[in-house]
Amino acid sequence: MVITFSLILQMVGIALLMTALYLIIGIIPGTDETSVLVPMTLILVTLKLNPLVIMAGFIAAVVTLNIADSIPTAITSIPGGVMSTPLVGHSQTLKKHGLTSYSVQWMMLGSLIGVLVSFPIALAFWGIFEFISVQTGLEISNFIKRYNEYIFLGGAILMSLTSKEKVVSLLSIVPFGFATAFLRNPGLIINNTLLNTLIGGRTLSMTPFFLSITTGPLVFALFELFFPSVFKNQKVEGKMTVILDDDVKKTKHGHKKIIAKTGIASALGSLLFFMSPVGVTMMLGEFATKDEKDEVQQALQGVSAVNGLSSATYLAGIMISLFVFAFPISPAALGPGSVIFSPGGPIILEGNAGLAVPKGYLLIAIVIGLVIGLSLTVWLGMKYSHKMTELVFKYISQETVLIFLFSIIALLSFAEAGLYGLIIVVSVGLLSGWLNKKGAGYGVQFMALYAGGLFITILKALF
Amino acid sequence: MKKKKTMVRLWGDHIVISSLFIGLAISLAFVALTFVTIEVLAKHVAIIAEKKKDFIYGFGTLAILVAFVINNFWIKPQRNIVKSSDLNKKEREG
Repeated sequence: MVITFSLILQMVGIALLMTALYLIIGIIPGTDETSVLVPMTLILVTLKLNPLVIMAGFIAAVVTLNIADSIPTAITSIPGGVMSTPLVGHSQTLKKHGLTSYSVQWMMLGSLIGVLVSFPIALAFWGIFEFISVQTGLEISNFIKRYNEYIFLGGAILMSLTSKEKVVSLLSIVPFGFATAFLRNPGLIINNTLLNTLIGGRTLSMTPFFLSITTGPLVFALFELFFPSVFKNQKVEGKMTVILDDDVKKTKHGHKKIIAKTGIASALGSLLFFMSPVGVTMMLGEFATKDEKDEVQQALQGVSAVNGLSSATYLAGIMISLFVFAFPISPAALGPGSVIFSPGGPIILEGNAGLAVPKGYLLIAIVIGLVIGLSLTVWLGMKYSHKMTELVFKYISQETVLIFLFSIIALLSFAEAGLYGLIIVVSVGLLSGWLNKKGAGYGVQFMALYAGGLFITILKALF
Repeated sequence: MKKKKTMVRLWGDHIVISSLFIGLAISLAFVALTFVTIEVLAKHVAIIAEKKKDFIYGFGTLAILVAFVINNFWIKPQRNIVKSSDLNKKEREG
């Protein structure tokens, strides 16, 4: 593979396109990061674009979504996504003091600091592991290839133990892993005429399952509406009133302290890349504001640190997983990056045997995606955050975004495995959404999905 | 009298259920049309038959984008946008 001028232009083009798209999606309230990132990335993969173009587009989307999610939170107090939920309290405080525009600026700066801190940390990790690998002759990707299902099982257990709902998460691993492994290749376990007619000897790739897990909570939320009690609870009258703050006040609170706290929190967040980004952001975001007595200073530190952390944990998690392990070791790589890290996909070789593309080239693609996503979103956010929020809230309905997502899922699953693919996506999505609601998060479910083959092997050995 | 639309709260926003399902039907009809067209064309054009899946993904995505634009024309966001400066002005006047 050679990087030509035309390939660079393609990377720039896709990064611009993804930035524009995710800027709009990010501003729309409530959208879940994983649910909206996976289907579009899958489209790039199925269109058979160059792996570097996919990578540039994916990174631009991740960075943009993380930043754009915070804009409506500051302006309307409605979180743009899951990762911006910890911002609500701080942004309400700043709103009360008439500092909404100022808080948007600090959110943007926080994200910028987060990326600038986590990028060299991820590179340092890569350098240290390369050095160890050269000195000891130990190939980490070879080791992982040999034991990947065990590593995923271990990861699922570890992630369950660090989650809020430990018991539910632990209990969900084996049934979920087994169910998905069975549905991928039912013929492995039972030989039934009706089943064979329906499946036609097909074995499924991971694609329908990625879609099921990522959109599960949404599918389940819609399904729940069929229950009268839930429907009654969720039913609303009239339009939702959104108050857009359009003040331009500033304050002279300690800038250096905000930058320092954001930098430290982002560095710690990058080192905790293997933990849940939402959990790390909540924990370290609180730590960054704990000792501050002044309400405004505390809130400014909060919005900046939380944004820095969400960008840092995502970027470090994806880069370290890619360059050091060639394996999805972090929740960010397992969830939003699941398509990128799929074995046998455009970037990771079959059986996690390493990368299909030279690391240096991938780094160029990441830098292109980062620079375009970050610079464009920060610039637009600093200058036009109010206008953009107003336009998106006024002209883009939530229904059309949901329809867009469901249609992409239908297209991908039907093209992959016909009616069987659609049935699988909906049924596994319902199971996944229910588990998610009970406390077994995306990370545990993805690890259980990858470890699924192991449960089938054990079952076959037993009977 | 105009019939009231049934609305629910989903993903942090208010949505009209009937609009969601009708819009989804429109979008899926576009996808189905793409599938059928490519299947029919694949029977007559060799290059389409060779790369049928790629054509389905490419034109299917395009169909979804077209449906998104069409749906956005008739499905209006269920949000009342009020600017804080207007609110303050009203409060002062009131």
